[in-house]
Amino acid sequence: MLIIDKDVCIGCGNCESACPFGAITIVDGCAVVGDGCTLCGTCVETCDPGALKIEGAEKSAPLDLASWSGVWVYCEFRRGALAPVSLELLGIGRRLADTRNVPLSAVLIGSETGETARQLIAHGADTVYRIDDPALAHFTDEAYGAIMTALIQQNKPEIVLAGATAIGRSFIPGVATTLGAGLTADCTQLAIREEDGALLQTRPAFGGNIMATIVCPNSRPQMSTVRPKVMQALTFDGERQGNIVEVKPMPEQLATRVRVIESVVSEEDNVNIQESDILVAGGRGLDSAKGFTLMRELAESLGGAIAATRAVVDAGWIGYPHQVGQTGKTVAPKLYIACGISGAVQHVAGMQSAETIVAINRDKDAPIFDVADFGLVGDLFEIVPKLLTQIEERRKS
Amino acid sequence: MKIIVCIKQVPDAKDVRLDPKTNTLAREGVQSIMNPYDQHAVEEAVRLKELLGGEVTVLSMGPPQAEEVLRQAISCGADHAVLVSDRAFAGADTWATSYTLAKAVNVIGAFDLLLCGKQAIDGDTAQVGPGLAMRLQIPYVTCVQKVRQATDSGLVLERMMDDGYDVLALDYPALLTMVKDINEPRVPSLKGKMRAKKLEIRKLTAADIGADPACIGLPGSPTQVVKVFPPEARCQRAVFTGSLDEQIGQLVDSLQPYL
Amino acid sequence: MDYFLSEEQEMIVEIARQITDERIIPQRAELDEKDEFPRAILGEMARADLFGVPIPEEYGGFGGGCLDIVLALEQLGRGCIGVGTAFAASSLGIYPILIAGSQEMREKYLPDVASGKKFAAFGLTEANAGSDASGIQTTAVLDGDEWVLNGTKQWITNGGEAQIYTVVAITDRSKGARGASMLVVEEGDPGFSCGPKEKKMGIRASSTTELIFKDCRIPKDRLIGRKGTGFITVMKTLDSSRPGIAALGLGLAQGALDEAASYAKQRVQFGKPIMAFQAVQHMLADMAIQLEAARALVYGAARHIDAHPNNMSKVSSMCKVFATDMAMKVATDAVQVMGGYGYMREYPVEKMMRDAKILQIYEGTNQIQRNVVGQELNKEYTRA
Repeated sequence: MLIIDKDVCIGCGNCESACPFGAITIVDGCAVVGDGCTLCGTCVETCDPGALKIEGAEKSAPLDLASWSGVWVYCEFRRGALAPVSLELLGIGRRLADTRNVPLSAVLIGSETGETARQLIAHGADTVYRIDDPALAHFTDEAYGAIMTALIQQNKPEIVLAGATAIGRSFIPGVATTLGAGLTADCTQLAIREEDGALLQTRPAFGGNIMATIVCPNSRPQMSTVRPKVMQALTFDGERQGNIVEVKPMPEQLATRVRVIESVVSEEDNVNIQESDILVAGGRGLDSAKGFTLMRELAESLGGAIAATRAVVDAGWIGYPHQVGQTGKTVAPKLYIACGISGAVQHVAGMQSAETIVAINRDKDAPIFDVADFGLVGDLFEIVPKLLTQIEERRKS
Repeated sequence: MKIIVCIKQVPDAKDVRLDPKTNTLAREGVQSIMNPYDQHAVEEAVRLKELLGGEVTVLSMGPPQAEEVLRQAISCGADHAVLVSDRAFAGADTWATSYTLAKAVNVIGAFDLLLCGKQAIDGDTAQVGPGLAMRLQIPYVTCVQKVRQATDSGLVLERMMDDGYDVLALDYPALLTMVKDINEPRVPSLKGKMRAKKLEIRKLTAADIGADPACIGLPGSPTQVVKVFPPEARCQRAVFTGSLDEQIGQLVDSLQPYL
Repeated sequence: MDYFLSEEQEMIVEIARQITDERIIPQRAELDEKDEFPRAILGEMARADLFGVPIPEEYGGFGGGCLDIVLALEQLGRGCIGVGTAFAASSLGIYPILIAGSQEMREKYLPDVASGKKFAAFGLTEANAGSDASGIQTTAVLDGDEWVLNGTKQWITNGGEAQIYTVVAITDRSKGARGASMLVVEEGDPGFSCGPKEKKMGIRASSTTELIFKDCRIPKDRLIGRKGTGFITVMKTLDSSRPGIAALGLGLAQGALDEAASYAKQRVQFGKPIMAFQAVQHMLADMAIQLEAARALVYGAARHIDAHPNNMSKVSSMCKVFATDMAMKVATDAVQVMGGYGYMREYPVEKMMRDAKILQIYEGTNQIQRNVVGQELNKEYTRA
């Protein structure tokens, strides 16, 4: 609970303006806390007289934190292929493990994983726990969750990372709950705190309007799901050595109450836009579904994929898997070309972490230009074909 | 069919923006709304009730004013409303929240289905649904985009994946989290609004649900926020000059690394 | 301005506003472009109980009065007069049953309309009987236990979409005005069909067709009220429904003002938003003043009608004339404020301007309404 010492408070209002949640108000010269308080502690730092403090019931006996050691990465394997985010996780996992001076392990769950375990070692893993069983060909929260939970309980890693993908965001929260572990979703930065070696997990909140850094001081493992395309994978090193530990799943781990009847790949949508380095995005300015023909030409020329705003997905011009924004996917490609997109906050929230943003829009006052690195004002149906021609010419020369 | 839907009151995302001077969230004119994904969960619950009979209870953990979203759910067809509210819940992360909700569900009693939105738009964590299912020891399916078949004993569903969708079958009881594709939430009805106005909302405190003080609120939260700060501003912002063709040329120059 | 609405009335406004903002406004341009009947939106309105507003509680309705329906229609009108007209015409179609129908007839038809399961339509106008209802040619002749209808109704709103039609026919030509009766014709009755959809200037989301009766046979008990009371029922029906048309005008004007004012704030000419120019401000001010005056009159008239149901003709006509003339003027001025953009289909005000025109024409032209007011004045001053 946030405690306000009324005798010390001078009513300066620093806390009121600092509170990111608008939960503090100054009433009659003294700070008053409302129900919106999330105990984030921002106000405590800003209070010069020291009138604020956060107090809570003491945790029951803290865990023996030191008995948990090592960094783990869940490596997602589906339809015979490794999700690219897995290699990115090994990249950041390696950095964290080296800082902590502990080994890095990968967990590979699936069926017919072939040479994948070797590949994980080549990308930084010291140990790969391989659970390869025909019954694991399809993802289920229950089987994957039970296996992961048991492995963590047996081996006690201090950090567990997974991709913030449909699969990672589904079964990892279940695992964390069972373990009583803290889990931070959608991390974009991970670092080790020098004083105590705790994992600093930074993630966007409120649709990217603020960033929050989170720690798990009293529980282990410290778990995070990490957004695709944010972390750097290490280059393949075939010489790297590591162990592969085969783990046999228990029959009760494979007995699931949810049955997979079939797994369907959407024909049109089999590109996961979160994994694409270049995205060509279309909005209402395309005028109709036909406008996406032009978008596809540009995407093909650049080797990218197609993204879209909620408005055009709602209008049925293109499928939901292409939707970027608060209610769609969050993407962080190297290049994002926004065509005919006005730049509503909800859309920007999903793409503002792109490395380079190009905006093409008729309206020079469109908010998309505020986040764009490069902007062209004009008719996209005139600009994009010219852009295509110039790109071709540039490549030839 | 007994269905419980967990809903949350959140600040309307379209109102939330940073005050450029203070780098904090501008609070003026920020409306509180029912989390949009939860609206789809309420709608699906009401549709299942209309199809199979039964009743829908909506459950929310939050401050006293979260009553508003419970009443909104009633006006859209839910039958009962329960609010778990206590200052001791403040600072709860998803672990403590799922503990609290599980305790409250146990007080509400037997159910066939528990529905949640995929995630809340203020936190975007998508963790409370799965956590709640684990605590209640029932199976769960996240990101349900379609209910293909619903009978008195179970469901056939489509769950959205990154590369398509999986078709799943399950028996009750179970927990589902909903994406917005699943349905279009209805507008409240006049009769529903009148009922919502009069309805007595059941209120539960931490003591009522028998919560262990070490498992709720800030003390019960394994994760703690240590810092909140604005995202780095983008600064590159180049201005092209000349005719449109020249500008496009300059753009192509700038995009050279990606070609 | 605060009009001191009741809690229930606020609820009606909220629901109608939500449907307008979330369903009608996003779809109105497409419905207009494609001449498409808004079935899904009307279904949503039914589920929200809006069709039950004017229907008594014993028939599954809300038992609302004139002001309640006015409030709902004002919101719908802000979104699209075409959708609003389709909704209003269903109410219009059941008013004769509410006003003069037997208990059995009410029980048979009203619950389905209240729940939105069925739509209704009102059939008065013919090729030679517009403002002058005495020109009606359609006949109904009793043959044993059945009425046999012959003739053609023209420009009937919800034609082809409704399941229940309340129709005016001559049952005894020799009696003149007292020779007309109202009857219920149902979709699927033998000898009854609807013509193709008319192509209109505005309100293109609403369906307008002919009703064609060729030896159309319907049971005897489909007569609404007593034989020969048709015109009285028609007059009462229109007196009750006119404030609803006035309300559509209020909504349309509000929508046009909203568009024009927000445009004026963001459109920059000569280095400043055009809202900063007094010429534009004065236009917007006049629009707002006329709108508020009309709203006060319409709400006042509706309250008067709810309190004095036997004395409604004059106020009903007054508010219809004033609010719909105002709507036409405000919509035209909104286009003017927005200039070339206002004239383009990309922006909604050109549609509002096209839609507004019908409000001055249907349910009794504004010239006929002035006649009604004039005749009432004539009566009042004779008495004095």
